[in-house]
Amino acid sequence: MEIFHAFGIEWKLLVIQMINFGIAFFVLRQFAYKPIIAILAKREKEIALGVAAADSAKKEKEAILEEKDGILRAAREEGGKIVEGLRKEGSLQERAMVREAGEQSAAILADAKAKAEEERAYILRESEKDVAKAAILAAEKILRTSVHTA
Amino acid sequence: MVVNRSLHGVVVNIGFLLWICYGVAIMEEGFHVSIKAEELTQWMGVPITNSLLMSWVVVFLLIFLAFLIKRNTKLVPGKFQIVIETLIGGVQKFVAESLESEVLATRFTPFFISLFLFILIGNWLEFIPGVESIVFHTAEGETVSLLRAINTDLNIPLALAIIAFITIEVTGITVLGFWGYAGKFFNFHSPVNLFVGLLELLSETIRLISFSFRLFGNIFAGSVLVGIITFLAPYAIPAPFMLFEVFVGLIQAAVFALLTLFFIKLAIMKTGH
Repeated sequence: MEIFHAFGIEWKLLVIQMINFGIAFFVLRQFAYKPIIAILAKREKEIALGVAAADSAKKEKEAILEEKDGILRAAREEGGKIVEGLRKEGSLQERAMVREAGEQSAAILADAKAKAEEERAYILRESEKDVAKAAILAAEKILRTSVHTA
Repeated sequence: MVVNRSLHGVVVNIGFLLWICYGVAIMEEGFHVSIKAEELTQWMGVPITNSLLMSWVVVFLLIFLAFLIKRNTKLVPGKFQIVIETLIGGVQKFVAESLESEVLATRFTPFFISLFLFILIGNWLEFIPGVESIVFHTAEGETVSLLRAINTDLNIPLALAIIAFITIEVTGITVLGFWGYAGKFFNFHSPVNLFVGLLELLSETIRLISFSFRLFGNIFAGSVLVGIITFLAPYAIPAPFMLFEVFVGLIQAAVFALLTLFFIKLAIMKTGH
Protein backbone atom coordinates (compact mmCIF):
# COMPACT_ATOMS: atom_id res chain seq x y z
CA MET A 1 0.00 0.00 0.00
CA GLU A 2 1.07 3.52 -0.78
CA ILE A 3 0.79 4.80 2.82
CA PHE A 4 2.99 1.97 4.10
CA HIS A 5 5.61 2.85 1.52
CA ALA A 6 5.33 6.57 2.35
CA PHE A 7 6.06 5.91 6.01
CA GLY A 8 8.70 3.26 5.27
CA ILE A 9 6.74 0.46 6.91
CA GLU A 10 8.18 -2.93 6.09
CA TRP A 11 7.02 -6.20 7.64
CA LYS A 12 10.58 -7.49 8.10
CA LEU A 13 11.49 -4.41 10.13
CA LEU A 14 8.25 -4.72 12.11
CA VAL A 15 9.12 -8.32 13.01
CA ILE A 16 12.71 -7.41 13.90
CA GLN A 17 11.50 -4.54 16.10
CA MET A 18 9.05 -6.84 17.85
CA ILE A 19 11.88 -9.33 18.45
CA ASN A 20 14.07 -6.46 19.72
CA PHE A 21 11.42 -5.42 22.21
CA GLY A 22 10.82 -9.08 23.11
CA ILE A 23 14.52 -9.52 23.96
CA ALA A 24 14.54 -6.32 26.04
CA PHE A 25 11.36 -7.41 27.83
CA PHE A 26 12.67 -10.93 28.52
CA VAL A 27 16.03 -9.71 29.86
CA LEU A 28 14.46 -6.97 31.99
CA ARG A 29 11.92 -9.42 33.43
CA GLN A 30 14.46 -12.16 34.16
CA PHE A 31 17.41 -10.11 35.37
CA ALA A 32 15.88 -6.92 36.79
CA TYR A 33 12.25 -7.38 37.72
CA LYS A 34 12.32 -10.94 39.12
CA PRO A 35 15.42 -10.48 41.36
CA ILE A 36 14.00 -7.22 42.74
CA ILE A 37 10.57 -8.76 43.39
CA ALA A 38 12.25 -11.84 44.92
CA ILE A 39 14.42 -9.69 47.19
CA LEU A 40 11.37 -7.57 48.19
CA ALA A 41 9.44 -10.76 49.03
CA LYS A 42 12.42 -12.18 50.93
CA ARG A 43 12.85 -8.95 52.89
CA GLU A 44 9.13 -8.83 53.63
CA LYS A 45 9.33 -12.43 54.88
CA GLU A 46 12.39 -11.64 57.01
CA ILE A 47 10.66 -8.58 58.47
CA ALA A 48 7.53 -10.65 59.19
CA LEU A 49 9.69 -13.31 60.86
CA GLY A 50 11.52 -10.61 62.84
CA VAL A 51 8.25 -9.04 63.94
CA ALA A 52 6.86 -12.47 64.89
CA ALA A 53 10.08 -13.28 66.80
CA ALA A 54 9.94 -9.91 68.58
CA ASP A 55 6.29 -10.51 69.42
CA SER A 56 7.08 -14.00 70.70
CA ALA A 57 10.05 -12.67 72.69
CA LYS A 58 7.82 -9.97 74.16
CA LYS A 59 5.23 -12.53 75.18
CA GLU A 60 7.96 -14.80 76.57
CA LYS A 61 9.44 -11.88 78.51
CA GLU A 62 6.02 -11.02 79.91
CA ALA A 63 5.51 -14.67 80.90
CA ILE A 64 8.96 -14.77 82.52
CA LEU A 65 8.30 -11.52 84.37
CA GLU A 66 4.96 -12.87 85.54
CA GLU A 67 6.60 -16.10 86.64
CA LYS A 68 9.35 -14.12 88.38
CA ASP A 69 6.73 -12.01 90.16
CA GLY A 70 4.93 -15.19 91.21
CA ILE A 71 8.14 -16.75 92.47
CA LEU A 72 9.10 -13.57 94.33
CA ARG A 73 5.62 -13.31 95.83
CA ALA A 74 5.73 -16.96 96.93
CA ALA A 75 9.27 -16.53 98.26
CA ARG A 76 8.25 -13.42 100.14
CA GLU A 77 5.28 -15.22 101.65
CA GLU A 78 7.43 -18.25 102.47
CA GLY A 79 10.13 -16.02 103.96
CA GLY A 80 7.51 -14.20 106.04
CA LYS A 81 6.18 -17.49 107.31
CA ILE A 82 9.69 -18.70 108.13
CA VAL A 83 10.53 -15.45 109.94
CA GLU A 84 7.23 -15.61 111.85
CA GLY A 85 7.87 -19.23 112.79
CA LEU A 86 11.41 -18.45 113.85
CA ARG A 87 10.19 -15.49 115.83
CA LYS A 88 7.65 -17.65 117.62
CA GLU A 89 10.18 -20.40 118.19
CA GLY A 90 12.74 -17.86 119.44
CA SER A 91 10.18 -16.41 121.79
CA LEU A 92 9.31 -19.86 123.15
CA GLN A 93 12.97 -20.75 123.50
CA GLU A 94 13.64 -17.44 125.24
CA ARG A 95 10.85 -18.07 127.68
CA ALA A 96 12.03 -21.63 128.31
CA MET A 97 15.59 -20.42 128.83
CA VAL A 98 14.44 -17.70 131.22
CA ARG A 99 12.36 -20.24 133.11
CA GLU A 100 15.23 -22.70 133.22
CA ALA A 101 17.65 -20.00 134.37
CA GLY A 102 15.17 -19.00 137.10
CA GLU A 103 14.83 -22.58 138.21
CA GLN A 104 18.60 -23.04 138.15
CA SER A 105 19.18 -19.84 140.11
CA ALA A 106 16.48 -20.84 142.64
CA ALA A 107 18.10 -24.27 143.01
CA ILE A 108 21.55 -22.69 143.44
CA LEU A 109 20.12 -20.25 145.98
CA ALA A 110 18.36 -23.05 147.89
CA ASP A 111 21.50 -25.11 147.85
CA ALA A 112 23.55 -22.19 149.08
CA LYS A 113 21.04 -21.51 151.85
CA ALA A 114 21.07 -25.16 152.88
CA LYS A 115 24.87 -25.16 152.90
CA ALA A 116 24.94 -21.92 154.95
CA GLU A 117 22.44 -23.35 157.41
CA GLU A 118 24.47 -26.47 157.72
CA GLU A 119 27.61 -24.42 158.21
CA ARG A 120 25.94 -22.33 160.88
CA ALA A 121 24.69 -25.42 162.69
CA TYR A 122 28.16 -26.90 162.49
CA ILE A 123 29.72 -23.71 163.78
CA LEU A 124 27.18 -23.58 166.58
CA ARG A 125 27.83 -27.16 167.43
CA GLU A 126 31.56 -26.54 167.39
CA SER A 127 31.22 -23.38 169.41
CA GLU A 128 29.01 -25.19 171.93
CA LYS A 129 31.72 -27.79 172.21
CA ASP A 130 34.33 -25.03 172.66
CA VAL A 131 32.17 -23.25 175.27
CA ALA A 132 31.69 -26.56 177.13
CA LYS A 133 35.40 -27.18 176.98
CA ALA A 134 36.06 -23.65 178.16
CA ALA A 135 33.51 -24.04 180.94
CA ILE A 136 35.04 -27.28 182.02
CA LEU A 137 38.47 -25.73 181.90
CA ALA A 138 37.18 -22.76 183.82
CA ALA A 139 35.50 -25.01 186.31
CA GLU A 140 38.65 -27.06 186.63
CA LYS A 141 40.64 -23.88 187.11
CA ILE A 142 38.22 -22.60 189.72
CA LEU A 143 38.23 -25.92 191.46
CA ARG A 144 41.96 -26.03 191.34
CA THR A 145 42.23 -22.56 192.69
CA SER A 146 39.74 -23.43 195.43
CA VAL A 147 41.62 -26.52 196.27
CA HIS A 148 44.84 -24.69 196.56
CA THR A 149 43.32 -21.98 198.52
CA ALA A 150 41.60 -24.43 200.70
CA MET B 1 -16.78 8.30 22.77
CA VAL B 2 -13.53 6.37 22.67
CA VAL B 3 -13.58 6.10 18.88
CA ASN B 4 -14.02 9.84 18.43
CA ARG B 5 -11.21 10.67 20.80
CA SER B 6 -8.84 8.18 19.13
CA LEU B 7 -9.72 9.43 15.67
CA HIS B 8 -9.36 13.02 16.78
CA GLY B 9 -5.89 12.26 18.17
CA VAL B 10 -4.84 10.54 14.95
CA VAL B 11 -6.13 13.38 12.77
CA VAL B 12 -4.38 15.99 14.92
CA ASN B 13 -1.12 14.06 14.87
CA ILE B 14 -1.14 13.46 11.13
CA GLY B 15 -2.14 17.09 10.50
CA PHE B 16 0.71 18.37 12.66
CA LEU B 17 3.10 16.01 10.91
CA LEU B 18 2.07 17.20 7.46
CA TRP B 19 2.33 20.82 8.61
CA ILE B 20 5.89 20.21 9.81
CA CYS B 21 6.79 18.42 6.56
CA TYR B 22 5.31 21.28 4.55
CA GLY B 23 7.29 23.77 6.61
CA VAL B 24 10.44 21.81 6.01
CA ALA B 25 9.75 21.47 2.30
CA ILE B 26 9.54 25.21 1.79
CA MET B 27 12.78 25.86 3.61
CA GLU B 28 15.92 26.54 1.72
CA GLU B 29 18.16 23.67 0.76
CA GLY B 30 20.46 22.34 3.46
CA PHE B 31 17.97 20.96 5.89
CA HIS B 32 16.82 17.48 5.08
CA VAL B 33 13.93 15.67 6.71
CA SER B 34 12.98 12.12 5.90
CA ILE B 35 9.80 10.64 7.28
CA LYS B 36 11.27 7.20 6.60
CA ALA B 37 14.28 5.78 8.38
CA GLU B 38 17.35 5.83 6.13
CA GLU B 39 18.68 2.49 4.93
CA LEU B 40 22.34 2.01 5.74
CA THR B 41 22.83 -1.38 4.17
CA GLN B 42 21.11 -4.70 3.67
CA TRP B 43 21.76 -8.02 5.34
CA MET B 44 20.11 -11.19 4.00
CA GLY B 45 17.46 -9.09 2.31
CA VAL B 46 16.68 -7.20 5.51
CA PRO B 47 17.19 -3.45 5.34
CA ILE B 48 19.43 -2.24 8.16
CA THR B 49 18.15 1.25 8.89
CA ASN B 50 19.60 3.86 11.22
CA SER B 51 16.55 3.53 13.51
CA LEU B 52 17.05 -0.26 13.63
CA LEU B 53 20.67 0.31 14.65
CA MET B 54 19.47 2.73 17.34
CA SER B 55 16.93 0.20 18.62
CA TRP B 56 19.79 -2.30 19.02
CA VAL B 57 21.64 0.32 21.06
CA VAL B 58 18.49 0.76 23.20
CA VAL B 59 18.19 -3.02 23.67
CA PHE B 60 21.88 -3.21 24.58
CA LEU B 61 21.45 -0.41 27.17
CA LEU B 62 18.40 -2.15 28.65
CA ILE B 63 20.30 -5.45 28.87
CA PHE B 64 23.17 -3.60 30.55
CA LEU B 65 20.71 -1.99 33.00
CA ALA B 66 19.13 -5.38 33.75
CA PHE B 67 22.50 -6.98 34.53
CA LEU B 68 23.52 -3.94 36.58
CA ILE B 69 20.37 -4.34 38.67
CA LYS B 70 20.86 -8.10 39.05
CA ARG B 71 24.49 -7.67 40.07
CA ASN B 72 23.69 -5.05 42.72
CA THR B 73 20.65 -6.76 44.24
CA LYS B 74 21.28 -7.47 47.92
CA LEU B 75 19.08 -8.11 50.95
CA VAL B 76 20.44 -4.92 52.53
CA PRO B 77 19.98 -2.42 49.68
CA GLY B 78 22.33 0.33 48.54
CA LYS B 79 21.18 3.73 47.22
CA PHE B 80 20.83 2.48 43.63
CA GLN B 81 18.81 -0.55 44.71
CA ILE B 82 16.54 1.60 46.91
CA VAL B 83 15.69 3.79 43.90
CA ILE B 84 15.03 0.74 41.67
CA GLU B 85 13.00 -1.02 44.37
CA THR B 86 10.92 2.09 45.01
CA LEU B 87 10.21 2.52 41.29
CA ILE B 88 9.37 -1.14 40.62
CA GLY B 89 7.41 -1.47 43.88
CA GLY B 90 5.49 1.75 43.10
CA VAL B 91 4.62 0.61 39.57
CA GLN B 92 3.62 -2.85 40.84
CA LYS B 93 1.32 -1.28 43.46
CA PHE B 94 -0.23 1.07 40.90
CA VAL B 95 -0.81 -1.79 38.42
CA ALA B 96 -2.31 -3.98 41.17
CA GLU B 97 -4.69 -1.16 42.17
CA SER B 98 -5.64 -0.49 38.54
CA LEU B 99 -6.22 -4.14 37.57
CA GLU B 100 -7.54 -5.05 41.04
CA SER B 101 -5.44 -8.22 40.93
CA GLU B 102 -2.03 -9.05 42.39
CA VAL B 103 -1.62 -11.97 39.97
CA LEU B 104 -2.20 -9.80 36.90
CA ALA B 105 0.01 -7.08 38.39
CA THR B 106 2.89 -9.54 38.79
CA ARG B 107 2.34 -10.75 35.23
CA PHE B 108 2.08 -7.32 33.58
CA THR B 109 4.33 -4.99 35.60
CA PRO B 110 7.56 -6.09 33.81
CA PHE B 111 5.76 -5.58 30.48
CA PHE B 112 4.74 -2.00 31.32
CA ILE B 113 8.18 -1.21 32.73
CA SER B 114 9.83 -2.61 29.58
CA LEU B 115 7.50 -0.63 27.30
CA PHE B 116 8.15 2.57 29.26
CA LEU B 117 11.93 2.14 29.38
CA PHE B 118 12.22 1.05 25.74
CA ILE B 119 10.31 4.12 24.55
CA LEU B 120 11.90 6.51 27.06
CA ILE B 121 15.50 5.53 26.33
CA GLY B 122 14.72 5.53 22.61
CA ASN B 123 13.33 9.06 22.90
CA TRP B 124 16.09 10.44 25.09
CA LEU B 125 19.09 8.94 23.30
CA GLU B 126 18.77 11.40 20.42
CA PHE B 127 19.52 14.27 22.81
CA ILE B 128 22.93 12.92 23.69
CA PRO B 129 25.32 15.23 21.85
CA GLY B 130 26.82 13.61 18.79
CA VAL B 131 24.36 10.76 18.47
CA GLU B 132 22.65 12.10 15.36
CA SER B 133 25.81 13.83 14.15
CA ILE B 134 27.67 10.63 13.31
CA VAL B 135 27.15 10.14 9.59
CA PHE B 136 27.32 7.12 7.36
CA HIS B 137 28.02 7.01 3.63
CA THR B 138 25.70 4.51 1.99
CA ALA B 139 26.59 2.41 -1.06
CA GLU B 140 24.41 4.77 -3.11
CA GLY B 141 26.64 7.64 -2.10
CA GLU B 142 24.16 9.22 0.28
CA THR B 143 25.29 10.68 3.60
CA VAL B 144 22.87 9.80 6.36
CA SER B 145 22.88 9.80 10.15
CA LEU B 146 24.19 6.54 11.54
CA LEU B 147 21.67 6.63 14.38
CA ARG B 148 18.12 7.95 14.40
CA ALA B 149 15.64 8.30 17.29
CA ILE B 150 13.70 5.04 17.25
CA ASN B 151 10.23 6.51 17.47
CA THR B 152 10.78 8.77 14.47
CA ASP B 153 10.48 5.60 12.39
CA LEU B 154 6.85 4.44 12.26
CA ASN B 155 7.99 0.79 12.19
CA ILE B 156 8.88 0.91 15.88
CA PRO B 157 5.75 2.61 17.32
CA LEU B 158 3.69 0.31 15.08
CA ALA B 159 5.56 -2.79 16.28
CA LEU B 160 4.99 -1.69 19.89
CA ALA B 161 1.33 -0.93 19.13
CA ILE B 162 0.88 -4.42 17.63
CA ILE B 163 2.48 -5.98 20.74
CA ALA B 164 0.24 -3.87 23.01
CA PHE B 165 -2.83 -4.69 20.89
CA ILE B 166 -2.14 -8.47 20.97
CA THR B 167 -1.48 -8.31 24.74
CA ILE B 168 -4.74 -6.45 25.37
CA GLU B 169 -6.85 -8.81 23.26
CA VAL B 170 -5.21 -12.02 24.54
CA THR B 171 -5.61 -10.85 28.15
CA GLY B 172 -9.29 -10.04 27.55
CA ILE B 173 -9.90 -13.50 26.03
CA THR B 174 -7.88 -15.26 28.76
CA VAL B 175 -9.67 -13.53 31.63
CA LEU B 176 -13.24 -13.43 30.26
CA GLY B 177 -13.11 -16.46 27.98
CA PHE B 178 -13.55 -16.29 24.20
CA TRP B 179 -17.35 -15.99 24.23
CA GLY B 180 -17.34 -13.65 27.21
CA TYR B 181 -14.91 -11.32 25.47
CA ALA B 182 -16.68 -11.59 22.10
CA GLY B 183 -19.93 -10.78 23.90
CA LYS B 184 -18.58 -7.30 24.64
CA PHE B 185 -18.65 -6.50 20.93
CA PHE B 186 -21.54 -8.62 19.71
CA ASN B 187 -24.30 -7.83 22.16
CA PHE B 188 -27.68 -8.88 20.78
CA HIS B 189 -29.77 -7.79 23.77
CA SER B 190 -30.84 -4.60 22.01
CA PRO B 191 -30.02 -2.76 18.78
CA VAL B 192 -28.38 0.03 20.77
CA ASN B 193 -26.13 -2.44 22.60
CA LEU B 194 -25.22 -4.08 19.30
CA PHE B 195 -24.35 -0.70 17.78
CA VAL B 196 -22.29 0.30 20.82
CA GLY B 197 -20.53 -3.09 20.77
CA LEU B 198 -19.63 -2.70 17.09
CA LEU B 199 -18.33 0.80 17.79
CA GLU B 200 -16.19 -0.67 20.58
CA LEU B 201 -14.86 -3.26 18.13
CA LEU B 202 -13.98 -0.47 15.70
CA SER B 203 -12.25 1.48 18.47
CA GLU B 204 -10.23 -1.63 19.38
CA THR B 205 -8.79 -1.83 15.88
CA ILE B 206 -8.30 1.92 15.63
CA ARG B 207 -6.11 1.70 18.74
CA LEU B 208 -3.37 0.25 16.55
CA ILE B 209 -3.31 3.47 14.53
CA SER B 210 -3.86 5.86 17.45
CA PHE B 211 -1.18 4.15 19.57
CA SER B 212 1.45 4.19 16.84
CA PHE B 213 0.71 7.61 15.34
CA ARG B 214 0.47 9.35 18.72
CA LEU B 215 3.97 8.26 19.61
CA PHE B 216 5.42 8.61 16.14
CA GLY B 217 3.77 12.00 15.53
CA ASN B 218 4.90 13.55 18.80
CA ILE B 219 8.49 12.35 18.64
CA PHE B 220 8.97 12.92 14.92
CA ALA B 221 7.45 16.40 15.17
CA GLY B 222 9.69 17.19 18.16
CA SER B 223 12.74 15.92 16.31
CA VAL B 224 11.91 18.04 13.26
CA LEU B 225 11.17 21.07 15.44
CA VAL B 226 14.53 20.80 17.21
CA GLY B 227 16.21 20.26 13.81
CA ILE B 228 14.61 23.39 12.35
CA ILE B 229 15.41 25.53 15.39
CA THR B 230 19.00 24.24 15.36
CA PHE B 231 19.23 25.01 11.66
CA LEU B 232 17.87 28.56 12.09
CA ALA B 233 19.60 29.50 15.38
CA PRO B 234 22.22 26.94 16.29
CA TYR B 235 23.43 28.53 19.57
CA ALA B 236 21.50 28.53 22.88
CA ILE B 237 18.05 28.93 21.30
CA PRO B 238 17.47 25.17 20.71
CA ALA B 239 18.18 24.35 24.38
CA PRO B 240 14.66 25.12 25.76
CA PHE B 241 13.12 23.29 22.81
CA MET B 242 15.32 20.27 23.48
CA LEU B 243 14.39 20.41 27.16
CA PHE B 244 10.74 20.48 26.16
CA GLU B 245 11.29 17.48 23.88
CA VAL B 246 12.97 15.60 26.73
CA PHE B 247 9.77 16.21 28.69
CA VAL B 248 7.64 15.14 25.70
CA GLY B 249 9.71 11.95 25.39
CA LEU B 250 9.02 11.13 29.05
CA ILE B 251 5.30 11.93 28.75
CA GLN B 252 4.89 9.89 25.58
CA ALA B 253 6.61 6.86 27.14
CA ALA B 254 4.33 7.14 30.18
CA VAL B 255 1.23 7.68 28.01
CA PHE B 256 1.97 4.58 25.91
CA ALA B 257 2.51 2.36 28.96
CA LEU B 258 -0.46 3.82 30.87
CA LEU B 259 -2.85 3.50 27.92
CA THR B 260 -1.83 -0.14 27.51
CA LEU B 261 -2.58 -0.66 31.21
CA PHE B 262 -5.97 1.04 31.01
CA PHE B 263 -6.96 -0.81 27.84
CA ILE B 264 -6.05 -4.10 29.54
CA LYS B 265 -8.24 -3.01 32.46
CA LEU B 266 -11.09 -2.28 30.02
CA ALA B 267 -10.54 -5.62 28.27
CA ILE B 268 -10.86 -7.66 31.48
CA MET B 269 -13.92 -5.77 32.76
CA LYS B 270 -17.24 -7.53 32.42
CA THR B 271 -19.95 -5.40 30.83
CA GLY B 272 -23.48 -5.29 32.20
CA HIS B 273 -26.41 -5.77 29.83
